[in-house]
Parts: sequence; C-alpha cells; structure tokens
Amino acid sequence: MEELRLRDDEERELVRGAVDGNERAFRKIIEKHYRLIYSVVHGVAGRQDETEDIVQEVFIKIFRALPKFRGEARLSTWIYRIARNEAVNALEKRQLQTVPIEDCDDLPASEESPAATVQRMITRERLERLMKRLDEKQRLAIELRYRGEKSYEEIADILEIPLGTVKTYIYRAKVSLKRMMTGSGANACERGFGES
Amino acid sequence: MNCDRIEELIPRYLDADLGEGERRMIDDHLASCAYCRESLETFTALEESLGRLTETVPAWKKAEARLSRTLGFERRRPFAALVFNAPFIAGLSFIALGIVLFVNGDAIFPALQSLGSRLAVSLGGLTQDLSRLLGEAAGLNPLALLSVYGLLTISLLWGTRILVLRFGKR
Repeated sequence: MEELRLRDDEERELVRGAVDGNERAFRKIIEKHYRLIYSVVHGVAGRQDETEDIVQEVFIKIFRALPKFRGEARLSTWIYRIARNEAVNALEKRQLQTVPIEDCDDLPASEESPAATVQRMITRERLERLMKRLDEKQRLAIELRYRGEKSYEEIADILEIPLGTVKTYIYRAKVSLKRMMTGSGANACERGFGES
Repeated sequence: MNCDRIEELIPRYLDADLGEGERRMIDDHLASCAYCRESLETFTALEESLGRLTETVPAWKKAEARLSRTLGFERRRPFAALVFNAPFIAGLSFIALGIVLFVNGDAIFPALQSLGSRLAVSLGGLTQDLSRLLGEAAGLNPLALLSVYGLLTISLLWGTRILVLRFGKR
C-alpha cells in the first residue's frame, strides 16, 4: 500500500489496518464518522427510513473504496463525499426527490404571536419538513452542526470551505427557518429556497 | 438599525459571534422593541429544537449490528465470486464433459442423435431444426456440441452470479 498522506497518526493506522483486513480498525473508522455519515445522508434524503438503508450502503462503499484512499483529502472529507454521492445516487435509483415541493401550509394564524406560534409549531416533524426547504448547502451545514454534532471548525474542514462561510450558511438557515415558521418577513416561504 | 437587520443578526447574537459594538446596539434595540424581543424568543426556541435533532440519530449499536451483517456478506464475497465465476465453472464443466465423452462417447452420441430425432418427430417446426442441429452436433461434431454446452453453462452461471451478488446483500 502506498504511504498515506494523512496527518493524523491514529487515522493513518486505522486506515492501514482496515485495508489490511483488520475488521476492528474498519469498525472504528465507521463508528468515529457515524454521525457525520448519518447527518449527511439525512441532509440529502430527508427521510429517516431511507436514511438508515442508505447509511448501510455508504458503509459498504467505504469498505470497498478504502484501499484506494490515498489521503489527499482528510478522511472526514473523503467520507463526506462518499456519503453525499451515495445518498444522491440512491435517491436517483429510488426516484425520490431530495426536496419535496410543498405548499406554504406552515404559515400561522395571523392573530397568534410569533413566539407562541413557534412553541406550538416546532415539533420535530415540522422542523424536519421545513429543513428540507433550505438550500442544500445550508441544510447540510445545519445537519452536520446539530445532527452530526460537529463544531464550526470541523464542518469547515469536512466541507473544505472557510469558517466564515460555514457560519454564514448556518445563521442564514436559522433566519430562513424562523421566517418559515412564523411567516414573518416578506415572502417567508420563498425565502426558504435557494437563499445563500 | 431596522428590525429585519436585527432579525438577521440574532443568530450571531445568541452565538456570541458579534463584536462589542453590534452587541450593544442589539441590546439597546431589544430594550425598546417588543417585536424583536419575540424574535429573540423564537430563535431561542428554534435553537433548542435544533439541539434535539441529535436524539434522532439511531444508536451506533443498532447501526453496528447491521454493519456486522454487511461485513459478513462482504467477507463471503470473494468465495461467492469464485464459486459463481462463470469461466471458472465452465472450465471445470468442459473438463468433466471431456472425460465423460472420452470414456463413454460411443454410447452417448447415438443416444443424443436418437433423442434429437424423437424431438423432431414430436414437436416439429423450430424444434425440428433445433433437434437436427443437436443431432448433427452430437453425431458429427463433438466440438460444436461442446461450444453450445459451454455457452449455455456460461450464460446460466453468469446470470446466477449477477443475481446472487445483486440481491444477496441484505
């Protein structure tokens, strides 16, 4: 096997072990990146049932592709790309939409105060549904931050984008979600789409 | 600073990601604007809800159990790939058939020819042509018979292999 260019010694050892057939090493790699994989796939698929199946397909893909990994990118970035591509491909195969087109049925009754509305409306299902309306970059950043429990710095490393851009995606996503939930701001529903 | 701008800055405000000047400006605005105070509450509630998304990720143990089954199949793949490898099996079959024909050829060829004739009589039409071919191949050209046999074997095994590797995963 060629010399891996990974900077992290532990990761280098794990990858080398996994490629040499050490199943424990492979499991450790997957466990370490499980939340990353899950959040990315969920960010693309947007459905829990589909996500769990696709996550398993990502595991297989990583298992088969690991011998080709040379360490040009961070392991987390490489895994992120596999997870995203696999999720997109799986959805195409299953002919599912990543972002269902929905009517703006989440706007609250006008006499209700925005805060009261949000308390009533932020059920998990509704939040998940509104997240699907976010621009993909914002959605993936939010997924990695909250479902994936990644710090801003880690997200910047994984996506290979500047830290400031990560923060911008996340802050804008929150403003979009808030506006979609409360119906505040002009054309709140449309703002959820493609704002970046 | 208008309320729209304040609304855009509140996520940064809650994240302590603003400079001292902007922070003070927002504090002053919030002190005098009920609408933006509500916005602040809304963003706080949203933050709490987002914070609970982490609970939706299935436990690693559950995913690991499925991973074990997946790895079990992956470990069997090299064996499956060998067993259902068409050229490998076809080669073995050729050798076996060669041995059988070498030992028992005198008895087998007339039997095949007779079978071909009987099929021709009973089924007619296309079957007649096919059986004539079979009979000719059996009677006159063992190599042609071997080729037909080989092609059929390869097709069958290759199809089986594809089915096993495609649907045997789960």
